[in-house]
Amino acid sequence: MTVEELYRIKQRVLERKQEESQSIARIVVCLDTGGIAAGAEEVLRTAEEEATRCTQPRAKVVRTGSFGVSSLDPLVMVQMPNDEPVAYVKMTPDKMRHVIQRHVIEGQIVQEYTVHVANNIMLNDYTVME
Amino acid sequence: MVTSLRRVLVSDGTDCKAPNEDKKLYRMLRREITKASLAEDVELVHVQCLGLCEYEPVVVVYPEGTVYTHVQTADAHEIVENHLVQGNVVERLSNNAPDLNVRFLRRIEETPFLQGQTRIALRNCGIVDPEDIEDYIANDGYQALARALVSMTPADVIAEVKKSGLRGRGGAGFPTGLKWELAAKEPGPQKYIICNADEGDPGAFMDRSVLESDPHSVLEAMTIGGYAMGANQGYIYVRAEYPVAVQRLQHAIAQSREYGLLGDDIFGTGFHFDIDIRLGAGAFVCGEETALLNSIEGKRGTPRPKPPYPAVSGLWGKPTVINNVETYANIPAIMLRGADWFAQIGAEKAKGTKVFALTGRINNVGLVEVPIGTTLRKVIYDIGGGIPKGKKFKAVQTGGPSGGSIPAECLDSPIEYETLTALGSMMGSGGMIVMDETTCMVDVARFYLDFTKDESCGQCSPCRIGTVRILEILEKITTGNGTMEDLENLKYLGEQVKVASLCGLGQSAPNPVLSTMRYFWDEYVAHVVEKRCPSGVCKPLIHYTIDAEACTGCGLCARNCASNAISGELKQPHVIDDDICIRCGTCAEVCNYDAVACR
Repeated sequence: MTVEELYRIKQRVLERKQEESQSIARIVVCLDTGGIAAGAEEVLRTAEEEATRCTQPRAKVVRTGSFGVSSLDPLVMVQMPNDEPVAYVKMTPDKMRHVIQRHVIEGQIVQEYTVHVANNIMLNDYTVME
Repeated sequence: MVTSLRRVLVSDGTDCKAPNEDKKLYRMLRREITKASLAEDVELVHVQCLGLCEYEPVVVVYPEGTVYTHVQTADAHEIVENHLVQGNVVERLSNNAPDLNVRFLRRIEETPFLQGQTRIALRNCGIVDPEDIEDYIANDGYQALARALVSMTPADVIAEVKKSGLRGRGGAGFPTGLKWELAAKEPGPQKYIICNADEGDPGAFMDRSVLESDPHSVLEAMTIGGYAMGANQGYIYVRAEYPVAVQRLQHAIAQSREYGLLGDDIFGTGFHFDIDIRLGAGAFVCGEETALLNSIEGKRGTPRPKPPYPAVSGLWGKPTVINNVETYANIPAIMLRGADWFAQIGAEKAKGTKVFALTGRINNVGLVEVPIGTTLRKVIYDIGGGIPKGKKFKAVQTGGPSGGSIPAECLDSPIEYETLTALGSMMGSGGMIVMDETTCMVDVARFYLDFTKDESCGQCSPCRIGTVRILEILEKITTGNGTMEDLENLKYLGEQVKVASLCGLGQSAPNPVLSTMRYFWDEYVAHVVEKRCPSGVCKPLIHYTIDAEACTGCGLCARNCASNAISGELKQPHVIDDDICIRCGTCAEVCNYDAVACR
């Protein structure tokens, strides 16, 4: 590999991403040990299964590591074509199905699963009482 | 099948400030929901205190995210009828806290947790696909390596790292550039560069996160370091307990080799370099650099006397540089953006940022990267969101078992290597465990000594015997058998173990004891003199009693008591037999009248 080849790879990947960002919905699942412990693998599997139903736009599921916001795991980002990503927190396979139906297929952000704050305190980061 | 449930959260503080409310609001809402035949469509969740103490009782209705504050049981019908049935927000209850700013955040970067951070070492975490080298390259990956190999001499690279002011992130804070320079000056064709990924502190997970989320940045940095010091072989020493990290590293190394970024003639410069993984079996002492070297060599993981330092005589007696994962993660950013850019972040004596794994009694658990010199208060309150359930902050343990507990009065101290050492703690690798008022500091010291006693390798007697003796004295104190003389001995012994031990493990093992004695002396004295545990943790020192005035004689405690220690006639005050009581605390938890006291 030469330095020129390195730049060419970078250009190629950036161009591909640019192109995809105009036509494809990107579903990013954060997958590190913390996320996996919180159930991110099941969420990823559901996303991959459900993504096959998406045709307009098509959906692509990718994985990343972790932002380190452990209390909000599993974390999923959905980026619609020509749009900014939306972060969905504390995801479950059920919520994932819901997000793909409502957000990717119907184009509506599922606000309920995004971070909800009141005076900088996260509300949907709750613990259920026994 | 797509489910579309309405979700209603009830936070009424029954778990913290109003234990006697007994779910009244929750039960009333449930009754109203059932009455309106919505039980199938509405999920009612009774949640632990959300932290909006001054607005409680709070009811949150999703999907709209309407927040109702100061809700009374009498309001339940109106919320269910107007909002859940007819779909109209009850303005009277949603608008009665004008200073409450409620909103949905679209991007994860907008959360208060991430807003207060400066991310350099974690710059790619959550952004790149750790299993795709091209994704890393697209995010400027391997460009720092290209710059170093093609347009800089090894001496230039060292000068740049020295100028940046980067110091080791593994604990001791030795200047990284200087370490590289010392090894570079050593003669000999064979040198080694090692990544210390033996993260063993309880509660620390920043290195794991970097390896799992951005493995290529570590590989790139090690290659740069190898070029700078003249090494052709690198080793990553990572514990086998991190299977995901190991698997991603293996994958990343294979990809780098395939792309020619590891191996012979990198970028056509004639420089060849390769990296292998060595798995650690999980001994805490192997995080100590010389024990780590022995472990890589296939020997028992025990430390070596220093000097000679590894930079002179390290792996198989060859000059060796050992840096921590986080230190490496900073290198590509420094090489790309320049030492001057890096040096303007942080404090005077230490540049850049530090990653902390924030855990314990804290609202927002996770990884925090802040400029060195940020105050503990900012990390714990602004980023960490403070202490849950309205409890009071008591102390924060930095540096894991090698560090110390820092009390509330020192919260405004900047986080720097020297400041933390002066406070009796240390930076360590970056564990930060927050403790609230329900934590007994003597018990904390006992916990950490129990850990270091197990992890002591046994090579030198001060550490092998000293940690056991310290633990014995602490156990004596927590069981109520301690004397004032024990406290004197504890202090003396701690100081002796600190100075006489061979390696960092023993030299820092007494820190949790000495720092808690320094800041929480009263608690030690209470255990020893009054035979009392002020936080109600040390079981032999606590007693449960029933307040005869408050007790209604309902018998709930007696029915729940596992050891049948509670007796009394129905509707008459009950009593606890202290001899039978096992101090499980169940009676206090179940009592609806706050009649059980723990002292």
